[in-house]
Amino acid sequence: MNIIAFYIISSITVLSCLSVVFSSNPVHSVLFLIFTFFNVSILFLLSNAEFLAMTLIIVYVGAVAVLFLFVVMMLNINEVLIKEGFLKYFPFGFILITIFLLELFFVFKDITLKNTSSSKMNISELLNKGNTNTESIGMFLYTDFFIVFQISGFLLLVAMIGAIVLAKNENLNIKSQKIIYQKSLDKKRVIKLK
Amino acid sequence: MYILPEIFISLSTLILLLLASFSKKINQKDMAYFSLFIIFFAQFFILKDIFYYEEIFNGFFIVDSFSSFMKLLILICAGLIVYFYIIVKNPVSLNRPEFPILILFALVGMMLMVSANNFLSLFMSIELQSLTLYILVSFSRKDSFSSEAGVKYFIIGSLSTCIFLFGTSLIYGLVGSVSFESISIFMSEQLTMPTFLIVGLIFILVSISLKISAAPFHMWTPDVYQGAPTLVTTLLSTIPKIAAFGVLIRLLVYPFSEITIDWGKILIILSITSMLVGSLGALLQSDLKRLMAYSTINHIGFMLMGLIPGTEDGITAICIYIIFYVTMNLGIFLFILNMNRDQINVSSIKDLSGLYKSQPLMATFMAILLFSMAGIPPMAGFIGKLIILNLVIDNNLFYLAIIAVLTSVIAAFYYIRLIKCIFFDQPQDELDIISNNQSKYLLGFFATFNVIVIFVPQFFLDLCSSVTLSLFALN
Repeated sequence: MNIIAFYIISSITVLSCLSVVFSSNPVHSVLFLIFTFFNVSILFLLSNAEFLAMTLIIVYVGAVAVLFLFVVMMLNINEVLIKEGFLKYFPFGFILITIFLLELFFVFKDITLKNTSSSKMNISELLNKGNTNTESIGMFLYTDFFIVFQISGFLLLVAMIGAIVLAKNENLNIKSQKIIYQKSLDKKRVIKLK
Repeated sequence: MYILPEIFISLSTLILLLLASFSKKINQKDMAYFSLFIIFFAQFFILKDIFYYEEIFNGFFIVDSFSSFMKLLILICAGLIVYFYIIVKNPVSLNRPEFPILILFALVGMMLMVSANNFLSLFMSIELQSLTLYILVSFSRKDSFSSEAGVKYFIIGSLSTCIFLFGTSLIYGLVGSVSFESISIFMSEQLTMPTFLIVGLIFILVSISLKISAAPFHMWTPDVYQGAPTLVTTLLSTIPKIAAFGVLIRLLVYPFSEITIDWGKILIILSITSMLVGSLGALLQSDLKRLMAYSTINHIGFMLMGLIPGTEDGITAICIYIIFYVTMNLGIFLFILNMNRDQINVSSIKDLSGLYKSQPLMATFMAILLFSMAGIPPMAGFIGKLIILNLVIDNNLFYLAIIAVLTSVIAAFYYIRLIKCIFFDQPQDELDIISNNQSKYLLGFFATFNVIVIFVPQFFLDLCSSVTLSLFALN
């Protein structure tokens, strides 16, 4: 049952991904993107990762995709301009993609993926002990992975500084009095007699 | 205690950030002095533990003498660049207290990069470093060139991130873990190497090549170098390259040491194309910063050549080459930073003409640095090239050595064209005379360093070979 559901959902995911790329209207692309996120979260649910599924919906659909929609609506993208170089680049790109896909096909053909983690960090062990999904993710994130967690905090801080640096309009030419400067002025330095 | 320098730098950066936002009296120059102080102190923390070996934070990071050496190099370079920021007259857009703070953040990212021992921590630290660099590149946002460079760098960087993650996911699918140690163990257990692993490695190599701008993944380099503020270009051409090379060396030598032949072939292609593109692309450039970008690509090709055999000698040669490359680059960029005409920064090759008549001493220093870049015998650049060529010939890669020599002859043409411009061309419009003494002394220091290295090559050889020893102790 599970495996049939997986195949159905994953093929829908691939199809909607393709429509993200190929749909001519950017708003449609974003809507298909949201559909893709929903499908992926169902895939997560099928593999018993409720927390990840819900996070995906909240973060990606709730925040990222809505932002995308806003940007797409505001930018007023010209569809003709986007399609302009398509025919010129298509043959070369098609050849490259075909070669790449064939290579990956040959590589993936005879491979067995490991389904259990060989390291000591194994989340299914924690789940078997009776912890809930969120609990066990938290246990990993704040113990074994805490340094990575810290670095991602730093990353967010840098992103915030960057947003302020690049967007804040610091008007340096504004003509206002600086009281400290005015009080510390020396009369002899300001007035010149020639 | 071993990750102390990173903790020290990040905590003091946070304090600096608070200072910058709450204190009105502190301007960007004070911030730069503070950051110089922080960088200076962090070096002592590294020097204290330089011969230690320890895996820390659940094996997410590793501290050995190789990573300590790389960190030290990165810190010295960053210190010099912050010092440049203090002494050189900057464009108004750079005069914000966030600038030195962002450099410190990038520094933390790069220091974590060279000591990463796990694909997850490696990914996070690469992201920390590159996000900071995107911001720095587009720092003068009123300048359309800078914004364009920022957007280009950001898009290419995101692409590189995606490719890196895809490669990591392939490796994870096969090995079941992302730590370098388990990958190494997995590889030593295999009788025949699965192609799957090599495909994953190729993706990661492509991503790192985008970071070190090795051809054919170099397309962003000239545009970003030209568009970014010159001080940021100085930073881009030195520190991230050191860090990315540190990552590349650790990655190829430690977890993937079993498939040296496979990645050696990839590196041969990368280095040949880099040397060709770097030498031929620079011939028609008229902007000094663009020319330096191609020169960087050429030097990267040379450095990659040292990694092909994957032996201890090769890594030693690369370390030496990196030291010399960094000193040459910093010297030339210090001069470009000081190239003003009527108080406006210029960077075209024509502006150099007749420099010898107005400032003979500076012209001589510049000529020494350029000769060193070209690899003319008594200078440092020659020693670097000699060691790497020697290594390549020892490994019976004669065709590679021939291509390297031919391309460096072509590259010598454009360096010597600059020297001809400086010494023999008639000046049309003279540059401002460099007024600040610190720049003059520093330029003199870089030039003398490039000359005196020939008398003490053994010192650098001993230093670098003692450092690389720790990489091979693991296998």
